Amino acid sequence: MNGSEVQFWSFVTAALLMIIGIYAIIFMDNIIKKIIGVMLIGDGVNLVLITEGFKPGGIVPIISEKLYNQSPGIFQEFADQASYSLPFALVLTNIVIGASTLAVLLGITIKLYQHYNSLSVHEIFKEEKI
Amino acid sequence: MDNLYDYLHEKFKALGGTQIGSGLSAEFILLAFFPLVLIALLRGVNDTIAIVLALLFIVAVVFSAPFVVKVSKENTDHYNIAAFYVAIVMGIVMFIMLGGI
Amino acid sequence: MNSELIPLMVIFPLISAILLNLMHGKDKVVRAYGILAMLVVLVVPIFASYGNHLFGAHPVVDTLPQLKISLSEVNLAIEYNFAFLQKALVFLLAAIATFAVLSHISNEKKVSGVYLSMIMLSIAAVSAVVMANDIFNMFVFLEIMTIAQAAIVIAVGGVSGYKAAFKYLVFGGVAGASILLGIALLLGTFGVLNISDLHNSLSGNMTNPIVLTAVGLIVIGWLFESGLFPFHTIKSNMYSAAKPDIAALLQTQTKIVLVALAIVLLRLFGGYSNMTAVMLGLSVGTLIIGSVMALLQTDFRRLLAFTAVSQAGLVGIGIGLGTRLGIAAGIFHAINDAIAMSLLFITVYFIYERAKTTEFKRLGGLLVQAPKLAFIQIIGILIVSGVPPFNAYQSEFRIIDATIQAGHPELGVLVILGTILTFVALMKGFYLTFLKENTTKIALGKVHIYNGLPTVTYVTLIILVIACVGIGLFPMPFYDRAYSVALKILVGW
Repeated sequence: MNGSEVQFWSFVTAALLMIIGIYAIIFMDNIIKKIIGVMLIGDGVNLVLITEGFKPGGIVPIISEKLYNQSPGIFQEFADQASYSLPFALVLTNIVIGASTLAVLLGITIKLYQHYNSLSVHEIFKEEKI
Repeated sequence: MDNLYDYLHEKFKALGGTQIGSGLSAEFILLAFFPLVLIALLRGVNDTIAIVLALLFIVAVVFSAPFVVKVSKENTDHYNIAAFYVAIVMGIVMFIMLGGI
Repeated sequence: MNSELIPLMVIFPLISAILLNLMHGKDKVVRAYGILAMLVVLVVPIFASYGNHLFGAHPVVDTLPQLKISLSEVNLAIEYNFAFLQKALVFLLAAIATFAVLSHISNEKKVSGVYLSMIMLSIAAVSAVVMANDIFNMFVFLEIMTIAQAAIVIAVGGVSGYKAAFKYLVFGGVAGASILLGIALLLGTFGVLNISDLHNSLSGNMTNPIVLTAVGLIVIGWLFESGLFPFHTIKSNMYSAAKPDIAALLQTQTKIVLVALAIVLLRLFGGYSNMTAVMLGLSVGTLIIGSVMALLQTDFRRLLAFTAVSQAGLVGIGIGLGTRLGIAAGIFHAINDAIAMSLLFITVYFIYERAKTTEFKRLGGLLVQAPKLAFIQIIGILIVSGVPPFNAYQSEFRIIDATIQAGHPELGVLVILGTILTFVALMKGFYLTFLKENTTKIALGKVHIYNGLPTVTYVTLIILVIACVGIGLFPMPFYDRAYSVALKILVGW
């Protein structure tokens, strides 16, 4: 596979992850499966961001003083070839947010399980009649 | 018409402890709400469509009033209700944004 | 002059959140620091001067001579704007949050540092959302706000709180991912995150399907954060599961975020009529369904929760009209309504604190026990229903005016219907709580609330009433500022 094919299939994978996540949130009865669905959607969005920053045949976007001293005229070339690094920073932030959401959600799950002895949405939301 | 109160009492039992007065006020507001929304949407589009929809609305009123019971059933705190409407609205919003309408 | 105070509005609550978390368990320290921190949070927005603040800024130049790196014109810094609207919103938030903190400190024998820390976290997040001129920064703080609000509700809500927070976090995850995907699409298309830069890049690009997808995704996120139609049951469940003082804080935050996000949406995609149509349509639905559901409730907290949701719909109608008058009236109503609904929530908080219940079947005849409270509550009901000379009258009148000027008189009729329904619902609550004879069965026990209003609650209620009357009598200073913001949104920032 060449670079742009990788990018294409990466986007397809991201879309699949999001669709599976939404399916889990809507149709699955077990609340842990729903939580997994939320996380899958987040991962799909992260994958979109990473794929955006990816550049077929690109180089790592780190520039060192040593590299600069070796060939001062390198910057234009570097700017043309380096992958786009901003999305990676965004992904890092989003992973942290996702982890904290996951922690709170699983904490709630423990409490709900202790109270209802079940993880089924039908059991837990029984008092709120449909 | 004597037993209208009993009829409504029977219908509103599903609401669980709501007074009939509140149920009736809500019902009247809903009856005003639907035609107003229809007017707002269809004003200036096409007279024929507007008339057909108005007739359909009258039929709906005759056969499915009181609406309040149905509306309150669709707005409980149950997870699945929320998930259903979120999915529908997400679809509709994306459809409209991409120029479907 | 002292624009250094601008980041302090975000950084100070964040640091306080960490410190309070560490202090948890040391009762006196938490009390003292909590009061001190709230004082600082209240004072900083008053003394901060208007202006911009750049984080990680570099001067916008073509080359940095010492490095010989050419930099683009794009401003890479995270930018915070601070003007009158931001000042008003942050101060309003700080004021309502102060009551929540003080009521916790004065009522609980053992003060929870973690709980106060979560309130601080939500203050920091909402302040950042209001001020940030950077769309990703906004997203990050929206997510932090979601987690902090869920944590507050978990702390006070019991099992119903767990269920409400579970739904809130799951759908918050979906909505957050939706906003982030929209941002990712915009970033991939234009390569910038600063909202002013995005506004410049977007002009003339509104037929690009990728941009249109991004609009839809961000609008879905906006619907969640402001509790409009498909998410209204989730929001109202959060309000009713929390203690009413926290519900006052939550609904204030919701309305502030509604305005902040809507301003961003209108600045970026204001020219796209399908977007404003979606905002308008779902807001109308929220207004009517919210007030209908409020009328059907049998619990005062749930009644107020649905009223708060329907009032958010009213704000959305103003903003969704997309005209100058509409946007200005919507922003104005958001401020007025946050104050008025907080007033009502705090009166119910007092009942809840004393009676430990807000179910109508157990309340009744409280007028004899608490006449002052009844008087303040009836004033609050009149304010929310838009009776002159109070503040909500000024903004609701302007919203109706705006609907007619925008050529949608039906919406004006709907707004009036919704307002009447709100009044009926709130009066029903008042009647069943204060006027109707208490017919509770002996087994359940009669409710007694009267030991005198506590000073904190009483002073807060008086301040809120004074604020409502003040804005109602002299609306122009606020409305003019809101109008100039609307003008800026439509003409260009």
